[in-house]
Amino acid sequence: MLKVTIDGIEAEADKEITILQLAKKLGVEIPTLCHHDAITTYGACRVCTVEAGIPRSDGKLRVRMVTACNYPIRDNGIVINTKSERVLANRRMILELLLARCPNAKKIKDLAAEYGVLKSRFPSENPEEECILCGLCTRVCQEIIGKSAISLVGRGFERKVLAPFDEPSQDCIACGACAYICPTGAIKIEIEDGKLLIKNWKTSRELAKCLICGEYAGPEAVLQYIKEKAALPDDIYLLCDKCRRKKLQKELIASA
Amino acid sequence: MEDKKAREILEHYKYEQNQLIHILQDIQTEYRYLPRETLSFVSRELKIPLSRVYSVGNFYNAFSLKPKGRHLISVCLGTACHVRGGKRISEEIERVLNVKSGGTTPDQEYTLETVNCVGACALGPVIVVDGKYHGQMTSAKAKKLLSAMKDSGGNGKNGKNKKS
Ligand code: SF4
Ligand code: FES
Ligand code: FES
Repeated sequence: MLKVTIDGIEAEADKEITILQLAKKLGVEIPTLCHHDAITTYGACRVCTVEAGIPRSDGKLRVRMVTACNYPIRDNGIVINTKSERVLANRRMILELLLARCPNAKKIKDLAAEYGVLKSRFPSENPEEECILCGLCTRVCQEIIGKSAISLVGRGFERKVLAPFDEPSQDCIACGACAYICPTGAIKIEIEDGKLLIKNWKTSRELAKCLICGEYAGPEAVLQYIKEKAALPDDIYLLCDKCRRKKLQKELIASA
Repeated sequence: MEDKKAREILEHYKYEQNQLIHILQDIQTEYRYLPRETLSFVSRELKIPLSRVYSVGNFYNAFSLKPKGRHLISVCLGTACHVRGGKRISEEIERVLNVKSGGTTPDQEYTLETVNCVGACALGPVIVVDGKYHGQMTSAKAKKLLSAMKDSGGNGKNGKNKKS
């Protein structure tokens, strides 16, 4: 166990847990955009920047700005500050930059406003841009869904998230995990003519109807994928959530 | 579709996933770009998701997803060359070849690109033609160079770009 001070609170931490993990445990709030507990950290958005004072041999602290989501606690006596003037100034600058990129993304506007940033001094390239290139969508697709249908492509100004060749991808089953996890709501899903569309990746997948009630149960490709993964019987996987639950309940009661 | 050349390249690297960049380099040299079907083929054979192969192919300047011409002309627009008029030279070449920077002539002969410093600033403005450096360039000299290339059917006779 290591001794840690965070915003004046003295605590103990296991070696190698991140500052963010410790902060969560202690109820200290640190904003994040590109972090999700179930997914590999990537350190892209920088809004979780905090001040870390690492004790030197002469007893003084060497203070550095670090990103809380991927900074592992390794030093006994580390002093962390998540709300100092310096941290806030840094965070405001980061938010200003994010706001310049996504001037109309609600989540970014709200977060920036929380820190008193209402307007960016930097020019915006595209007022419609909502993607901060955090890569959460590509990682959920790879790590959780196991499809890797999309990736970060290009460098610098050109960087974006795309399906290969910016064309409908065979690998995308339209599960929507990317839209669910996107911190800024940049991924647009629509239902049209019995199909589920993910505009960003040009995906269009047929929706299956529930065998019992006839409501949409989900994209066929997704149901098929779940069926294979979970080895579900034929008459279960083509049901919507509600009917599936009812059916299973009934069977459970009957068998009791 | 079976891609014989790509197959050979893959075999040479023993289908090792961590050789992806080398494999793509060889494919780039072979075809002078990364054809789409070849990327899909490589992805299948190496069992690397196409999205990853695509993103690697997109990341490095050495790779091109569009066919490149037999001759590669790179005009340096690094700071030193820029202040000595590199821009005028690239415009002149654009005009003569009738192709925009980054583009390839319809006959697949010339690809024109701009680069940021080729490490020969003292010679600036510099253009690099099929790997050969030409310093103290002017629009007039560039024009001459191009017409000489056309007359001789191009100067890199083997038709391969040394540097891409
Ligand atoms: S689309 Fe959303 S999740 Fe994907 S990189 Fe952009 S902001 Fe992140
Ligand atoms: S949450 Fe730490 S860098 Fe984005
Ligand atoms: S700027 Fe052209 S060679 Fe350096």
